[in-house]
Parts: sequence; structure tokens; C-alpha cells
Amino acid sequence: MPTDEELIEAVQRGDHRIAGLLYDRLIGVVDHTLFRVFGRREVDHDDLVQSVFEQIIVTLSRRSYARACSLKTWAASIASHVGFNSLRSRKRERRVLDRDATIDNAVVPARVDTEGLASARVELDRVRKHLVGMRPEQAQTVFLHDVLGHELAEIALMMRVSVAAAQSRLVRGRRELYRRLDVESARPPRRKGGTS
Amino acid sequence: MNPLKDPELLLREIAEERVPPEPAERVEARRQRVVEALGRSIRQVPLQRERRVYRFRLLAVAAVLCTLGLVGGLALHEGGAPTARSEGSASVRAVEGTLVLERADGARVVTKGEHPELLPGDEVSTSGDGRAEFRTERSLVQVAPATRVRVVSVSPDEERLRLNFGRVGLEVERREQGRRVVVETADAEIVVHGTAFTVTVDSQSGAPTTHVRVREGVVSVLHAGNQAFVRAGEEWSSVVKPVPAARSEAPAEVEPVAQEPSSAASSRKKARMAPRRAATADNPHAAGSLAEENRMFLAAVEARNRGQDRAAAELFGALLAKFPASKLAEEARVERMRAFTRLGDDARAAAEARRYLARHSNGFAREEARMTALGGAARSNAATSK
Repeated sequence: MPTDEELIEAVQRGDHRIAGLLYDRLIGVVDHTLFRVFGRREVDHDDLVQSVFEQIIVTLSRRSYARACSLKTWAASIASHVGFNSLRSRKRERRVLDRDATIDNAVVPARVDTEGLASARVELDRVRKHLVGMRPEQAQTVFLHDVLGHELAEIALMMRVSVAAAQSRLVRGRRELYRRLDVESARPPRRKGGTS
Repeated sequence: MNPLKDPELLLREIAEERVPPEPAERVEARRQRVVEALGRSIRQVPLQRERRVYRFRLLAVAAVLCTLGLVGGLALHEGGAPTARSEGSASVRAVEGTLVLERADGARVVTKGEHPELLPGDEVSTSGDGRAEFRTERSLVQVAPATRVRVVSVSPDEERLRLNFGRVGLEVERREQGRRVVVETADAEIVVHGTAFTVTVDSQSGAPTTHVRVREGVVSVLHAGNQAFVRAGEEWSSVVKPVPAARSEAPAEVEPVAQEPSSAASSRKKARMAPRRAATADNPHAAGSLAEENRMFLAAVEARNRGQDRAAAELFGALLAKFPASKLAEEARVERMRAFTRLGDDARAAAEARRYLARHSNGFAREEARMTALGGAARSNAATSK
């Protein structure tokens, strides 16, 4: 199996034969990251996966990837970035997240009751909605740290900021997310169709 | 109310959310599609890099060209400045007989039909049968036969010619503002206020003497530390006239004897001067101070003419310190201000300009003093802000 370094050098040489190897190395982390950003596989999931890989190739060819973290970590960062950007554009178009949450039956474990699971999904979708509404760098830092489990030092390298700045983004991002969730929990629940 | 779980818990739940497996055929179809697209993208990488390098080089070349253009433009601008000054200094318009142009790099004869530019420092000499005419920004200078005249300096404030010997006739445009025209000789300085006049330098008893004859307007003549105004129809000479017996009681140095206009109009001036002369005679101390004032002023002017600006500034300063109410104070302050300006001592030039404006608010150099004072203040502010 080629190392990360060998794959990167092959990309920079223009060796297209490693496309399959690169895909196999990174598809897991890309797929999972996009799933966690959206909470499901959207209809354009494959397009987003392709976008993430295109973006990875661009950053490798322009030597934007500093090789300070693993290729998988880099791919996760790019996937979360692409995912949140896509969510933001959808939010602007008012097509997603404000609508009633839909349940992907494929997610539902067999031994869990459907109503409880739907309620849990709604709550998680609220978190995602608020993340999308936050400042991108704060939202991405919270997501990379609290959801994907990356270390602050790693996030600092990925986002090309100091560890202190990454720490600050994380603290502020969490505070902002909790504030938004608190505000929403204090709000009376919306009535569907205007009837009770 | 709609109670929510702990946000930390919610984030952890997102992290632990189970990602369901996809159908194998979908996974394979996506792999095929993405790998194919990836292969195309990877093949483009070297090409794109070449394009980037090409664009970078193009930008670098453009930046270098822009820099060269900018530097060239500045150089042209800098190089163009003397040309502009030379156009503003003087250009020979007509020549008769022989005219010799002396420059730092040598002397040459200017032939008829030639119109060379005269730069500061250039000297022209006409032969016994030669004549020339040159034009400065503000004046038309006619050089008589057997004359030697130098273009001393041309600055935005002043055109200065030095007549070594011979005769020049000047026609100076009358303007409210703009550079003043000065003709200096070995023993006098003629400041023009918009007029037509001739200046002649000849030699009497071996010493050069200056004669000024005004056809139109008025000129001021500075001689032996005194200033006299010569108006249309009047003449002035630096030759010391014998003091009339009736006035022999008055000390000779009290009266700038050479400054009396010799025309009919001069009799009126003599009449005006008479009481002053009497008053001076009553005050021998004042008469003695005038002599010293003249001496100090002359020493300062000579230092200035030799290009010793620092010494000139000190000598003018000494005069002003010793005789603050002197009739020469106004001219001394102006000269001191100019000396500091030439030395690049803007702060002291501005200070002198402010003193001048405080004491001579309607003085002849008020505009120049204002500009100097403002320039000094502006530069001072700029330095402070830095």
C-alpha cells in the first residue's frame, strides 16, 4: 500500500493511475463526515463526495496541504468544509433544515422505537441548523473538535491558524451554539398548520 | 417550552451517530464515477501547474515592466525638471555680431539664427559690435555691445542676473505675483517691480560703478546698505557725488549720496529728505549707527553673493540684533529668511518669515514670507505626524 506521501507525490506528478487508490484511502472518512454534517445521505450525496475529492486534488496540486496532518484528517476537514458550504447555500435557498425533519428509515435501528428516534433526530437536526447559522470558522471548529474528535493542534494546522486561535474559535463557537439552543428551547413550540 | 438535551450531549450523539451501510451497487457506481473524474483531474495537475507558473511569470514580467515604467517615468520627470527650468530660465532670441556663451563645460560662439537655452550659471559676452536679446519667463533682456552678463539663478521666486560690465536693458512684465527679477552688479542690486529700465556698469577711477535708468514703472536699488526707489524718468548712479557745501555739516555716510535720482523729480525727493538730514545731524549717535548698519549690511550681502549663506544669515542676524529698528531691517529679515531657505533650515526660515510678517505685514516680500512660513509649518507638522 502506498503511503500518504507517495500518493501526494503521484498526484503532483499527474499520475492518474493512483485515482482509485486515493479514493479507496479516503472515501470512508469523506462519506462519514458528510453524513455527520447532513445527518443523512442527501440525494446529491455522490455529487458532494465528488466535489470533496476534486477539492482534495486541487489542494494537493497547489501544495496547500502542508503535510502536517494525515491525509485522512485533511480529507475530513475538506469534507466538513464542503458539507457546511452546501448546507449554507441550501439554507439560503430555504430548501433545507427549516423544513420538517424527514426520517431516513435506513438509520433506524431495529430495536429502537420510531417515535423516540424521530425526536432524537429532530434535536440533532436543530444542532446542525444552528451550526450552519453560526460563523463558518466557529462552526467548523466545533464540528471538527466535538463531532469528528480532532485535536485542537490538528484543527489549527488544518485551518491554518494558531492553536490559541483554534481554541478561541472552539470556545466562542460552543458558547454561540449553546446560546442559540437555549434561546430556541425557551421559545414556544411551533404549531404545524396553525392548528393544535 | 421545548426542553432540549445538554448541547454537549447532542454533539456527542452526532459524533456517535451510526452511519448506515450503502447498497454495494451504489457504492461501486459512485466509485467508478468519482475515480474516473479524479483520474481526469489528476492528469490535469501538471498542466495546471504549468499554467500557474506561466501566469506567475507573466505577472512577474508585467510587474517588472510596470516598475521599469514607473522608474523610467520618474527619471524622465526628474530629468525633465531641468528642461522645464531651462525653459523658464532664458533662451537667446536674437544675436548680432559676436556673442560668446560660457558654460561650465567650455565657451562657444553663438551664431546668428541660433537660439540656445541659457541655464543658471551661463554667462554671455557680446563683442564691441555685438548685441543679443534673450527672454526669461518674465523679462526681455537686451544685451548691449561689450557687455558681460551671467544668469545667476532662476527659481520659482526669483530671476537673478549679474551684470559684470556693459549695459543691459530689461522689460519686465508687471505682475501681482510671481518671481521677482533682480539684476546685481558689483556694487548694487536692482530689484524690479514691473518696469523697463537699463543697467550700465562701467569703471570710474578703477572701481565699477552702476547706473540705472528707468523708462517705465519703478525699480528699487540696494546700494551700500540702503534702498532707493527709482521711478520712470529717473536715473540712479552708484557714483559718490560731491556733497554740496551747504550740507557739509551733515555726515556723508548719513545720506546715501549715490541714490539721489538725478532728474527733475529728484528735487522733490531732495526736499523731502532735507528734514530727515537735519534730524540726523542733530543726532550724531544715529548718524554713527547708520554707518555701522550700512557696513554690517554690506558685509552680509557680500557673504551672500559669495554663496556663504550661513555667514550671511549670521551677519544679517547680527545686524537685526544690534539695530532692530534699522531701515535695513526689512531687507535684512528677507535676506536672512532666504539664506536659511537655501541652507535647507526650514524651521529657522519659517521663524524668520513669521518675524518678518509680524513687523512688515505689508512688506514687499510678504507673499514669499507667507509661503515660507506655511511651508515650514507644513513640513514641521509632517515631521511630527511621522
